[in-house]
Amino acid sequence: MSAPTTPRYSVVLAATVNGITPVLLLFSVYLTLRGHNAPGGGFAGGLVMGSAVILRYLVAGPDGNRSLRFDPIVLIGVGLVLAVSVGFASLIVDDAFLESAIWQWKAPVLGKIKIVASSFFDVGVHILVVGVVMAVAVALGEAGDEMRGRR
Amino acid sequence: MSLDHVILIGVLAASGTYLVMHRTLTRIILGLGLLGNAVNLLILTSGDEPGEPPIIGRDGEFTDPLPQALVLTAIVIGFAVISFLLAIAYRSWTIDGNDEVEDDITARRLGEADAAIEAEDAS
Amino acid sequence: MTFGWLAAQTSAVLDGDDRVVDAEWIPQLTLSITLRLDGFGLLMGLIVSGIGTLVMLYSTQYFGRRDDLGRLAGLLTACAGARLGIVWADGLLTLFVFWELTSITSFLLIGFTDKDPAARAAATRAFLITGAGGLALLAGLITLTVVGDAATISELAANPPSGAVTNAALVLVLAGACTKSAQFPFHFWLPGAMAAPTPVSAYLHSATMVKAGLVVVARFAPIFADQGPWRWLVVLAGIASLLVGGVRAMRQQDAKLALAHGTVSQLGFLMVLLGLGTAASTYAGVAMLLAHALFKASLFLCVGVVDHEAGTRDMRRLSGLRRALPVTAAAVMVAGASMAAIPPTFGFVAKEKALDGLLDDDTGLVGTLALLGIAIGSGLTVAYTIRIVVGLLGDDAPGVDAADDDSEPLAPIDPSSLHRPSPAFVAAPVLLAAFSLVAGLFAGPVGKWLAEVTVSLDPKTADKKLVLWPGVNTALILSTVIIVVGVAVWWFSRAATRTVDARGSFSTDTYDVAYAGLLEGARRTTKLTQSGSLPLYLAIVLTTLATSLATALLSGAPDTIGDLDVTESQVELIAVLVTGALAVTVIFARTRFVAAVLLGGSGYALAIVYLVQGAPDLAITQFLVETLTIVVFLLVLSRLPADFSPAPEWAPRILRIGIAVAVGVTVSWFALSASNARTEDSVGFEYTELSAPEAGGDNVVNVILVDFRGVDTLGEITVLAVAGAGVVNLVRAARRQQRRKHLEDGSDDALIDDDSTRRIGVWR
Repeated sequence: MSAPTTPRYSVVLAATVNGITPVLLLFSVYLTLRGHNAPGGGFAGGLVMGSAVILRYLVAGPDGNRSLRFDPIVLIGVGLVLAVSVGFASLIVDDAFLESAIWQWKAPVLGKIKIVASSFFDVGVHILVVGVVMAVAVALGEAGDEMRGRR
Repeated sequence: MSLDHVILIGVLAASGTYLVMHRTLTRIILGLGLLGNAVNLLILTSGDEPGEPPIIGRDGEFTDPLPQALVLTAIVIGFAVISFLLAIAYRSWTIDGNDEVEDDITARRLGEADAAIEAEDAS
Repeated sequence: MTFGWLAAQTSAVLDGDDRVVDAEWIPQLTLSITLRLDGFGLLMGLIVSGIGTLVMLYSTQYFGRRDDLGRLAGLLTACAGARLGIVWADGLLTLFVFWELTSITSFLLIGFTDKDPAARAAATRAFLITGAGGLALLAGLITLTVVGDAATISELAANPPSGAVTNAALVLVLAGACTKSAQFPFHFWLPGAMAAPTPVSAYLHSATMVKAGLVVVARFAPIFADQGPWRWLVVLAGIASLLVGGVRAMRQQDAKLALAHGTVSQLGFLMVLLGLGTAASTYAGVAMLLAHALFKASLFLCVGVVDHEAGTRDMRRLSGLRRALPVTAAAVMVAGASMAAIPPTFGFVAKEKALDGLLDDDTGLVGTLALLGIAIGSGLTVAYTIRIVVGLLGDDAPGVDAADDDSEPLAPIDPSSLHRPSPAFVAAPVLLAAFSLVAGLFAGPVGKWLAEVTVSLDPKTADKKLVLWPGVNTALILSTVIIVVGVAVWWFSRAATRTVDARGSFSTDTYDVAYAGLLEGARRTTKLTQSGSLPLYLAIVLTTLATSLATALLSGAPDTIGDLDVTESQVELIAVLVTGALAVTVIFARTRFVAAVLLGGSGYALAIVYLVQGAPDLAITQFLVETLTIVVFLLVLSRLPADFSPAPEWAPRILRIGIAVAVGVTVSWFALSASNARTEDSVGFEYTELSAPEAGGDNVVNVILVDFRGVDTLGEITVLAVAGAGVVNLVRAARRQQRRKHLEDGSDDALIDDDSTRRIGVWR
């Protein structure tokens, strides 16, 4: 029988989320990329993006087959691979595993640009965290639905 | 570390322990969360003096960045563990409708089984 | 082969040029395998390998064709090897290692006929007792190593330590030796070990295993004999064994058992001699050791021959064997004569020397007591020797009446029905018996050779010698008296030999009770702690944590409660209070929803604490994780029964609160000490130094995570990945099962199975 809990679909929430999501996504990327030099980092960024995903999941309409774009497991895999490959890349360049390299160059308009290899590692972490959060939230959400009697 | 930290750690640990010793999986999960918080705080504050965040470019005494890194890892993994346990709670629910942790029948039979075997041996 | 090699080494060694092998094992602990082939080692090596060879030869005849002969040969060799290790060990720990190896190999040998529960029980008993002795030995040896600052026996000999601790160590070493050599009160495993096949018993009890304890005593006595309770303990234990063994030997009907008890007695004798530590007694002891090996092995093997041919060892049923098996009988008589110390056997020579030495010695009351004990014990020895010899070979065979014990009546064996054993069969015992005789006849040269051997034990024995006929002196008179008394004892005891000594000894009963008690105790403890209840397990774990932490903290420095502020800032204090308060209220929450929210609130307040502590990354992560935790919690749990059910708990609430408080207090205390326990500077600050130049980052925490300690983070995200995958699969599996259940119930509409599609949808 249907459960007398709060209805899944709330217009107010949906509208808010629709507005916030792009901001969240952008913020999460910002958080990750700045992590090397200021508070932030891959975990924080990944969690923020994960929250955005969850929000969208929560406000999904009652009738739609609103499926998520990526299978979260794939995301997890991508993130892991990226992180590991950064490590191996440094091996190839004759350094120790995961030893970072710093590249700097001058771009015409933007001025001095510094990219550190370990930033890619952080990006990998970000992707993986998003995948994990998605996987967990969706799986447990479905579980909860099951328990509530909805499918 | 200051006294309020010490007491807080103790309070968190005690509450967490108490919750963990229950039969309901939910309570156990809550307890684990509290215990995790306790230990994280312990690790963080057993470093040196608190001060400025260790970001190069800021002035002042930096705090020790190493425990922070460790605790960050711990927090995230704690989340993973809690979600895993929640999945287990769900599984338990599908089996018998609640999330109580049942006794392990086989282990209990072990104690009785030995007695049976020994009675046999003696005779 | 070993025998030959050893023989070749003889001259070199005896000239004082010991061969030393020193193999490094664990240098940090100064553990190395140190073996030394000195004179004594040479002698023992010859005994072990010589007798071993003979026993193996004998076994081929004894067992006939059997599948496990290979196993037997292997085990015998292994045992011999272990035994040689003991004898040749110079390093104290090397000694222990080989000691334990002997225990193991003996266990396997005694339980060789492993289908027989009696054999298994005997083997277990022997193993447990000698194993416990081994532990005592280890403790003693380690103490000696520490106190004497020496890792080998030779070092100890050069510089013996003394004092109360040394005495304690010596007592432990003695205890170990006594268990292995079946001395009172650890003697009761030896007769039980008779369950082994006769050749095995012969080898174990004459040459190898039981002598191990004596070897240790022999090596240590010259060094430590003057100290503490050594002499008294040795003499008392030895004499007790001597007498107890002798008395019990008188009551046995089974020849092998009689020999076993006799062995206990003889070992007591040897223990006294070797343990006294004077030059005379050491010399005599070694001579006696050799004599005993020869005659005891011979006797055992002869009994084996009889057993093989007649089918029984029961002396009440054997008669007239001296006509039926003349060669064997001759061996028995010679070896028996050596045991009873009748001239001109080597046993006589050795015992004479022993008595001579004891009469002369100056160790005071202990020496006198030893002398008395040995005199009486020797009398008993004569008595039971005669008993065994007569019982085996004599004409008196009354058979077993039903009235004597519970078994059925058995008729005596007709001697004419026995066929002669093959020469190869009797070769071993005859050879050994012959040696007893020959060595006695050539006492002089043998004695000189022995002196060169014993010098390695105690340099003062250099001028000792053995003589076949010492002239009429006190020792001789004493021996004569002993022999006469022994015969008398035997004569008068004939009446009492009808009854079988089926009573277990006091010690055996104690052991059995202890053993059973141990097993029962283990079962009870398991039942108590392994009740299958998770909360109970957790409680036990946490209580142990609290107790061990508390003990450690109590014993550590209590000076850590130095300068602590109450708080570091106002804001923080508030945050801390909120965290704590919310945490406690989680306990009292009635519904899951509220509990989850309260936990989240506590986590938020904690994040503020982190912020004030100067950990912004942490604060961000904590906020986010806490939020997600609440969300995930609510996703799952809002459908479970809202209230927490008051299920029956495994323990009263007070107890659980008590444990929780104990843990909390201990952890707090730990936190207190941890903050002041720093002895080195933190590595973190080094990271701070290196952060910008090497890693190009300013956020040191992040740099640590992704660069300096990147591999750790790699591990962490792997864990995350696994957890995520685990959650997904758990849920999928559970849902699949739910569907099956629903389908069977028929309570729902048709469902779509979503496992085949890769995309996870919200609704299917």
